[in-house]
Amino acid sequence: MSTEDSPIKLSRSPTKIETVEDFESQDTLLKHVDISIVESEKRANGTLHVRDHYTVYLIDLKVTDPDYKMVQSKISTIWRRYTEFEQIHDYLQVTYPHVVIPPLPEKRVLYAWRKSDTTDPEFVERRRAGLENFLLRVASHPRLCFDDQFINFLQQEHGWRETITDSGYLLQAENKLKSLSVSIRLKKPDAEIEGVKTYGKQLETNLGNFLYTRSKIIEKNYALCKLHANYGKLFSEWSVIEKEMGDGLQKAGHYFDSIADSIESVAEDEEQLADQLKEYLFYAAALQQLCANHEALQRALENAHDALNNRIAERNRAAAGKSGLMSRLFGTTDPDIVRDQSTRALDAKILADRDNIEKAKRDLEDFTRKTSVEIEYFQKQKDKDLHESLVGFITLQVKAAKKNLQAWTQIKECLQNMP
Amino acid sequence: MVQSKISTIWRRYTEFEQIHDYLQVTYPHVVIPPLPEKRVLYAWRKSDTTDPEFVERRRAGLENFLLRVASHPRLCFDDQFINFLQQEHGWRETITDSGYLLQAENKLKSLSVSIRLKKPDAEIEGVKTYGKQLETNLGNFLYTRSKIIEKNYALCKLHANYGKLFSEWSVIEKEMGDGLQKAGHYFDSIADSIESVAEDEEQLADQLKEYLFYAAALQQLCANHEALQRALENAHDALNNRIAERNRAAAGKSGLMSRLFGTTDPDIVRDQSTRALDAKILADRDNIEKAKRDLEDFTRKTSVEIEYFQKQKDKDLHESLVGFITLQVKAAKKNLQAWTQIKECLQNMP
Repeated sequence: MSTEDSPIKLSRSPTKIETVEDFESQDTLLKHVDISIVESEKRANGTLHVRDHYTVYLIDLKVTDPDYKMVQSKISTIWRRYTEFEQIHDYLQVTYPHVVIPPLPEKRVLYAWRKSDTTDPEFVERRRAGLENFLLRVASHPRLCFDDQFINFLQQEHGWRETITDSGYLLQAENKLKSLSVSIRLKKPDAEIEGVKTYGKQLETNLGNFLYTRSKIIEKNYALCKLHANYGKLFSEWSVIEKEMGDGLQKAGHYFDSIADSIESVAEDEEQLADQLKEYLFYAAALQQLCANHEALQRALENAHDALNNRIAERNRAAAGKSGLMSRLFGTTDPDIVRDQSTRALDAKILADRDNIEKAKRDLEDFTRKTSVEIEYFQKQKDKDLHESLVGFITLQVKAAKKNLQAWTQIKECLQNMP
Repeated sequence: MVQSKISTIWRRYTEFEQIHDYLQVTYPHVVIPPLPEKRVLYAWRKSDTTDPEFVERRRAGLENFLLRVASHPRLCFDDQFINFLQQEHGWRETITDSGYLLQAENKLKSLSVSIRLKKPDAEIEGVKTYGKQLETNLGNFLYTRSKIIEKNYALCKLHANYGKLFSEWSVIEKEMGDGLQKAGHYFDSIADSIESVAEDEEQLADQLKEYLFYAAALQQLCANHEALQRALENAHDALNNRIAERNRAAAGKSGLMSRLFGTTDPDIVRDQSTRALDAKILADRDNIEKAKRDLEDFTRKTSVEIEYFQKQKDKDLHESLVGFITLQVKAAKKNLQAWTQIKECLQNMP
């Protein structure tokens, strides 16, 4: 039985996902609604200071499935600002540690090649597209899309901030931050997870280098193209004083101006493709986060084992009558009554410790099982998306190179046709 | 005409400067072919006159200078020029003995005062204006070109970063590995391609630089014409002044006493002065005729020169500009090729 047969049933958790195929056949929110961010607006906090202005984004929800009851079809638009997106993102991070959480677009301007800040109209538009993409990623993920808080994020006009804070995710996030600040050295790291972590780091490095190089190149290319306007100007001026060459120089001048102008749209299109690659830069970080979560559970299991071993040693000392204060200070043997009590107390604790181990083991196995599918699905999606983005990026370069060749060829014709 | 025995000779740049300056003062009605630049102009990377690349470009430029002079009918058979090509020993003394240095200094002095003619020659004015504008336009072109090649060079070299990172990336990817590896090589080719483009472009820039300097030579020619016009105007002024003086002498108003006290000169003074001035007037009229003949002679010779120069300039600049643009087209084609191949590598990834 799948959730698609019973639209009224408010099923929150997906049916068992064992394989990537299961993953792909799952019901998702996106199969029933369209989500888009249609516009942005500047709001002020009452003062006129630039710093107190912030931008809000209008999320538009359209129910495409008439029988779908999970969303209150009444409210189909809602304004959210970037910090609220951060809240839902952080909430998802702590609530679903076994999932590669879709990343948000950049908080501060990264890999900028011209003066830019988060209030620039171009940046706001790119952020709008990035936030829309984030929503689509979450809404198409079977484990995340039906989360209550996420649904609230899309619909709850008033009091969402209180609702999300009440979920207690902030405390969990802080705790996690504390535990992760100590770098985890496992006695027996999981080879597969280590492999994924290393891959994540290298992907992050490679994409970072790519974005850095790209920004340096477009910076120079932009200045280079604009310089060709100088050629245009001087060919025009030159055409005035020449008799034979005048016409040819004049015509050629126009094509130089077209070279100078062409870079604008190239830069714009390239920025969009760079944003696609940036998403995977952040995805690589999310992948490493997932590995850190796994390592935390492994560490918990190792700690549980250590705790048991310590307890057993303690119990043996108690059984030998060497645990009391007197015996530790003076080397005497504990009286029988002390021995019995201590031993029995520790036996009870040993049972609890064994239970802990079992729980930690189960947690780890459960996590590992869920996360394998996640990782496999992510790799598949990544191969497809990066392939598409890289091909798109290179296609743009080919297009620009074609236009460039065209312009120079036309300039040559103008000059060759001079008498 | 040449001593076929000695067929090679070593000359340094300053000796080229000497023969050039000599030709400038000796043939003022000719557009003298210019020397290649003395200091590095429109440089886009750190360079000085001792760089191997610069020395090679100078070699080509000096060779071009010799070919230009040797193909100019008025210049090529000049004794000093023939000596320059053949006289191994003592050429410096020979050229100095010609006295060209003094002429050059004199000319420099006369030209330092800007000439305002009462009735400038319209055609010469036109040529002078054209020379200035051509100089400006070529200067702007060379400046813009140097800024562009500087950025383009840095831009192409940056693509080596893409090559390096695609190689590194190919190691960690299963599906994309092959495609990324192959694409990486093409990026390196983009980075390498700029070297030969820069070299070829430098040669074409040098061709345009020659005309930058030719434009200056054209203006020099106009200044020489203006100097002769000025000489004629001065000769006319001298005559007019002399006639006025002669008239004052005839009226008996030229002696010292008459100028101080307003009296009339005695007859004997009057006669002497008048006759002396009449003789001078004759000399002045001869001067005017000479200045007129000089000017006409110069104008006649120089019209042909200017016409020939314009024809050569149209042909040469056309060729240079077409050559320059052809180089850009060639570079653009190679660039498109590289990107197309990169796209194929990536598209063929599974």
